Amino acid sequence: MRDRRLGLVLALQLAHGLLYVAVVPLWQQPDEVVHFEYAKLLAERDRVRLDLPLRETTAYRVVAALGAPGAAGESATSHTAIRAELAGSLLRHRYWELRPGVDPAELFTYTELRQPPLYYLVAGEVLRWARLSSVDAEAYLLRVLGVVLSLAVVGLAYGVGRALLPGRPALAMAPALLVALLPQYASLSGAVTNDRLVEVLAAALFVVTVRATRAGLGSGGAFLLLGLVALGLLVKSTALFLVPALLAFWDVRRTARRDVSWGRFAAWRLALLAAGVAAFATSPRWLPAAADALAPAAARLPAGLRTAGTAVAGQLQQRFGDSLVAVVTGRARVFPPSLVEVRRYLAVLFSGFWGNFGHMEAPLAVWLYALLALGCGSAVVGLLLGTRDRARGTGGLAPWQQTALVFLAVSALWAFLLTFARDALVASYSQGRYLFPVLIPLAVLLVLGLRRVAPVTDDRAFARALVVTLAAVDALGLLQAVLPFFYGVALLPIP
Amino acid sequence: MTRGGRLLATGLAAALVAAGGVLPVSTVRLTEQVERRHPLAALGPGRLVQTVRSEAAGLARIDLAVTSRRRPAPRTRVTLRRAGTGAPAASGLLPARLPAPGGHEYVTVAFPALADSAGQTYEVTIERLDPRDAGTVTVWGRRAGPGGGLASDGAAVAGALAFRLWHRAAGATALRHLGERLAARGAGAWGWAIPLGLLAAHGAVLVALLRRLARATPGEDAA
Repeated sequence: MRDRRLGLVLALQLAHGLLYVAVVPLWQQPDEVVHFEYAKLLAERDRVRLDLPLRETTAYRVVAALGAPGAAGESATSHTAIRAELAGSLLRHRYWELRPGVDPAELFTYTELRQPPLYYLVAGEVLRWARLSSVDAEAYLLRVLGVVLSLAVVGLAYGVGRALLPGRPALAMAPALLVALLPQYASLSGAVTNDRLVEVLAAALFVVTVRATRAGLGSGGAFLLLGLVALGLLVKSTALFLVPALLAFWDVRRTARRDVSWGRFAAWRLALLAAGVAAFATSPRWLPAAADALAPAAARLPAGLRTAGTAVAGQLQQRFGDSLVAVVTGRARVFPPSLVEVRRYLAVLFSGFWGNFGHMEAPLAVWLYALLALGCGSAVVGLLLGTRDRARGTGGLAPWQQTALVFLAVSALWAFLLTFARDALVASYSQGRYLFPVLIPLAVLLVLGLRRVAPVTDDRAFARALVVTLAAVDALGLLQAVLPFFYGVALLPIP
Repeated sequence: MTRGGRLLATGLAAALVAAGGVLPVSTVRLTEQVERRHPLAALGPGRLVQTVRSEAAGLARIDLAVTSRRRPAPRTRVTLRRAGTGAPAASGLLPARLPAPGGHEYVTVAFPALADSAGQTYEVTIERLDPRDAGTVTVWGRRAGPGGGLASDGAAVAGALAFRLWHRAAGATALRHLGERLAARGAGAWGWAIPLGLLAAHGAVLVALLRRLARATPGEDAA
């Protein structure tokens, strides 16, 4: 019975993802062309000539390390030729008609070639295996790879639900349903990007940790968690949140074992966080001197530790380098943000989470966002009521379930902080999709909050209502935003 | 679900499909000039006129690329006049909150559908109603090229405004256009069948899921 339900949820995600693969024109997903460029370079590593001034990028280094320069002979192609082929494909797929603001001469100014290589190695191998004849077909193949990875995320979301709510199968299924029916996630699951692999690794971490809060964590589980974090860092710098999340897991379990109140736990951690933020903001004043003082000691470290330290520093530099420069040069303006800025920031964040398709140019109707905001607000109220229930001793959750929920919430908080810390410093606007590595914790919290306030008598009715509501939102997104924007056909009145 | 309930649901679905095929609730974009990277003119006291040809009946909306740094933007009116007679066919004000320059977004002017618009040529007139704030509203389009149908105060100007014309259409007509456009995106002659098939599969899985959720699982609690 359980497997049948899982099969249906996976079938739903498969149909949903493939639908968006077919409907969103090629190259219209965020940065799709530059992600594809990296995978294509690795796929062609035996015969590609690296003729652009990008020697310092990870992609060039990996190609140089794995490829066989000189063996290509007459069949050799060049990076420039690959870019020209991609530009031709963009033209065929009306890229500049839909995105006239992008200057063709500056198409590859933004690059993903500095990203860690793991996803691109996998994608490159898939392309080598498939041996397709055109970049269009290859790009569609990588879109399908994204859908396959998203199936793993949905399956693992189901695993988290089952582990967290073993006695309530219908409610346990709800987080996976939310992931599978979230319009923005369905749309992006069919994109060429390294994000899906980060999400798979994070989802696996959440399954292991939630199970461990009940059954304990053996040495095998601990190594698995460390391995997942290490792999995540080899995929994308957004996986950096997995490091504090893992530390938080240890911290939360230790607190639960010592039976300290969660209120006290939160107060201490928030104080530490405030101290950390202050240290970060003032780092230009003390960091250079501290680095000079520590340099002799660092030089005496074993080579392995130094290499690991350099790798982590590289990730931090990639994630926060420009933020630190902004602080030093005085360009950063953290406080006070204007009301307009805050409103715009929240709008970009919220719409980018629920549904704003393509390059954030095909939004849902405003009233739909308002309705979704109402739902999110209700979930927050539900979570607060649930916390009050627990304080009064009337909550239905066992202590290990509370521990798991606190961990999931802390993980989501870390992802938010690390993703948006840079925005606060350089006044940029991040999209809600950057939170998808913690989509499972967010889905669990949303579901439990909504369940607490939903005026329905049983879990099955709640799950059905969730499916119907999200399917309606998704249908409206498709009919009122996606099809009118990309194809000029609106089957419903468009807002 | 009871037999009566199933019949009701089936009937409702059939009615919706039939209504979608007959009622003109859908809109289709048929004619467009999408190049909008160049600022063509900052609206002064005069009129800017773009000639457009409507390919079908039911013209109900025109999108233009218009920007302004002012909040609110000066009041600006768009009027459709029949070419030759100059008789006004439709009119509307641009929104008070126009996009900022550089975003390349469209601004929409909607009006009651023109039943007899098939094959008609219209002059789209853009004029600033507010005498102050000269030069704060900019229209965008294609700068070069003769024969674009653009004129300023009666004198022909090189280039053409960016515009898109939307027509009311029956659901069946809109679906046909969708199929044609999906097929033209490199998916082959039957490419449009892929998303429609996926949509049907999607619906079938949803129904199966809802039915499965309606059934109790052994050991499932209700709280």
